Amino acid sequence: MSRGVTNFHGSARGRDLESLPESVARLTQLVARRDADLEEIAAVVARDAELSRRLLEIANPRATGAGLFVVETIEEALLRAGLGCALLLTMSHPLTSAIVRTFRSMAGIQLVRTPPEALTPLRGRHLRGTIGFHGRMEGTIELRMSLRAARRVAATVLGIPPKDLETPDLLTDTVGELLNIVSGDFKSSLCNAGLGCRLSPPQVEETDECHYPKKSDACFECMAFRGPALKLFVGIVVTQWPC
Amino acid sequence: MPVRILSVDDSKTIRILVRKALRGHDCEVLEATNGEEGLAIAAREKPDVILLDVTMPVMDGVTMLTKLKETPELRAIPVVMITAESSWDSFQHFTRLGARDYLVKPFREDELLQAVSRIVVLSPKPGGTLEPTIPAGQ
Repeated sequence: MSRGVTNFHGSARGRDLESLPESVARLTQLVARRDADLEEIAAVVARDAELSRRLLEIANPRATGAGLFVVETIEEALLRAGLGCALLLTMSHPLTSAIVRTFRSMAGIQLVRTPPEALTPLRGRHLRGTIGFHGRMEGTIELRMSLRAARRVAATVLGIPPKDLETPDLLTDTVGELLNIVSGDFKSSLCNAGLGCRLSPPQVEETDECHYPKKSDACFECMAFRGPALKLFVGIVVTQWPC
Repeated sequence: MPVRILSVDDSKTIRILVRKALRGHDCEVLEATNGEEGLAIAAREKPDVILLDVTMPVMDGVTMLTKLKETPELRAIPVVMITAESSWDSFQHFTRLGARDYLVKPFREDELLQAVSRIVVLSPKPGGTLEPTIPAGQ
């Protein structure tokens, strides 16, 4: 689905401002409010089974299964992991939508989110794109794919055979633009939830390094997507929370 | 008389996609990679429509739009903002600054053509060229 053409007076205007799922919208609004009540936030988290599961997993880093959780309630997990972490997990929903929508619309590639551990990790030289968001919530979004996959995606976006990608610059420009679109979409979700921010320009580079930056005050969520002959790893790292 | 469209975007990818969308139509595509270049070309060439990216280095699209509307001989050129963001705040901001329309990325070719066609008449031109009349950076 394309996000579409709109105009200031046209009837299609509202189509672009897609509403967030209720749990996402509620939680971001509550966290953004600063004075939100823990029980109120826990109640919203509890209504989302996937969010609850991920939060409990993060609050129990040493547990190998749900039966071994030391932290068992959502309230405890929120206190242990932090409200920001819950927000990060929540925001992975609009980020997933942005990624799927962008790749489908720009490259005609249907991506499906999959657990990262279900995919073979990227080995050796690959392409990494990063973009920072700055405001009440600060961090980076990172996208990684193999060079071969990146060439195929870029060629599809441009409507040319991969061998005709004239320069490496065009490859990085196309991947950077995809990341820019994904991040702009994500930023809109943050803005519409009251967490306005600005984006830094995308940086795209070839790298051998596969680790996310590990700052003691940072929290990150790794996401993975699978498509036809394509695997994509996306990380969201948050270094400053609105609360 | 071909329609003259100025495409201002730092992304070569988007400039290529704009050219591709317009290649079958009787139009000249001028290109710039930032607002500063865009303003210079707009002043010199007086295009019929400007397709203007929001986030660019050197001079962003909002600054270029503001400067266009402050310049009497350029103020009437219709501007379509192109952005990956879809927040109400942004749209309201563009409206206040005088943008005619906006496109949210990712957009399809037909959506770009619709946006341009709401402003000028695009006539078909079989065998249109992919090359811009004024390539970016000149």
